[in-house]
Amino acid sequence: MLLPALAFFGYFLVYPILFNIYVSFFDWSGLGPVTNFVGLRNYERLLTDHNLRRALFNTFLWVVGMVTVPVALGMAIALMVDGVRGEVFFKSIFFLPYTISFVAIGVMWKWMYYPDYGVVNSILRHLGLGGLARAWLGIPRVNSFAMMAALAWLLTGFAMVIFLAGLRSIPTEIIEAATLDGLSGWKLFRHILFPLLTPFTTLVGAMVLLNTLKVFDVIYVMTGGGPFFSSETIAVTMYRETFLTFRFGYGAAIANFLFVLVVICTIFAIRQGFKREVKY
Amino acid sequence: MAVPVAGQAAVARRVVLHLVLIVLALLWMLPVYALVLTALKSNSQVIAKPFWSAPERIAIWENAQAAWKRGRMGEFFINSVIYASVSGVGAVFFASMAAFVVARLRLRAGNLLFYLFMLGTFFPFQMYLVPLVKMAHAGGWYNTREGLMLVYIAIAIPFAVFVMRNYFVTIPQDLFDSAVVDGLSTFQIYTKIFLPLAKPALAVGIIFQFVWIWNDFLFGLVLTSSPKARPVATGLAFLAGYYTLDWATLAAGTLIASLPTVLVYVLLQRYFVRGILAGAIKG
Repeated sequence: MLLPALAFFGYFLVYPILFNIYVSFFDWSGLGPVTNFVGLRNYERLLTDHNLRRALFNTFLWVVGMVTVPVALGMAIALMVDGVRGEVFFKSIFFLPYTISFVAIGVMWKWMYYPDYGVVNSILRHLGLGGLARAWLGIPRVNSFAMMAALAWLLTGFAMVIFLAGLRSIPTEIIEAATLDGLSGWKLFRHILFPLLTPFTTLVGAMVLLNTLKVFDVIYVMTGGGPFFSSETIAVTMYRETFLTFRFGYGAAIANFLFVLVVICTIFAIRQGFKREVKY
Repeated sequence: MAVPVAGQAAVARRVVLHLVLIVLALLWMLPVYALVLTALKSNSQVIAKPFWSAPERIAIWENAQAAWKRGRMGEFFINSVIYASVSGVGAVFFASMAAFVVARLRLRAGNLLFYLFMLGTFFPFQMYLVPLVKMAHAGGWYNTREGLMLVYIAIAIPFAVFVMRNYFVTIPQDLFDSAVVDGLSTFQIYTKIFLPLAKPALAVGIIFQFVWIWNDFLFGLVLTSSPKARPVATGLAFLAGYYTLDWATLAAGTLIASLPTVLVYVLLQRYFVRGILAGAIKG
């Protein structure tokens, strides 16, 4: 009974990982046998590649942006919708983007940022702020932030759902006791809810962090990493080097590098989780 | 006097809270609203008039047809129906068998195997791309539906094992033991007792995998080269590359690609959210 699952697992998951490590020591164009052994050359290139360095920096920007804005916003929205009249309706609206594919999100936001008659620029011109209208996806650095808005739009709903589960997990007696002690509004949040939500904050933060390291689809659809590689992240650079430049060995090395980043961040996240574990 | 004032303050706060939520919700829906409105209009109106102008003529049917036929979204759509349903069900089926063994095995090996499967959710998909493309070319399944179907099953199995195993361990051991006394084989116990009991977990698993596979872009991108096998999200990305000036068609195509998962969410919200929470707890 184990056999089918193990067969899939071995053939499509274990073997590829091993092969990916193996092929990263070769110069290989993706065609023919893998014969040109180059040792650590692909990893040396990794250290000196300017495009990859920029991609690393962009990835860092994405991670910082995503573990802050959507997490905070998701928490705020969870606190606001929890128990409010029309809760189900509001929840559905904020969560809706999470059910749509990254590609559809990318197309949607490409339309938002379309330079000539797209949504954002049309609104700006209508409000007499035409001076602010610009080619959002065409300007280096600006384009990364513009695309982050799209991903934040999606992740906020995810964070909200987790925080709502977190709020449900807080025993009502604690909140009643705090209310009797005269705590309400900001103070209730600051001294009771926020500390009790910490495990969930860590959880959401960790998940968002690990997934944002690999951000790819939205960028591929919206800018393709351009112009001039300016909006590439590690995963986008990996794709370009492998499938557009046909450096399969180097692409494999970048993927392994990404894996190392994931491992480091996971260890970091687990340590944070243990440190901040709270008990009632 | 103090009490009514406090009451008024509470009412005022509730009104403000609702106002904030309504404004935020409206803002949140802007991208969706803009997209739907664009899909409703003819492309000439989209170009000539601002996006908020009401449709002069409802053109959504033409737009959807253009996306479906000329944009070939129809072919992508059918491919993904096959991938998401067949692979989703297949992965959960295989995973449930494995999870049953893992959960019921009284050996240490059970846990060890479980952690091995969990390890499968840990590696970035990027690490699979180069090997899978090579394997697909060598094995003759590059750009075939069968190939992609198998890859989706494989990628979906670890998380499905997780969901199923966590459900199976909640089923009392007595049930298993008494079935053994009754002379049922292990496989019979699985099909006749555990599988029917696990319906909620099966639903969570299948729905979660359906949505994931439906929304996948990356594997479709590197493992297909023509509409024959291309899944819907990948197809939409290509459409977005070609139809850069025909936003009406592109918007309709985006709606086509998004509708199934949105429907799944609306109709089966409970299961869907449970899957997400399960995923979060794993992470």
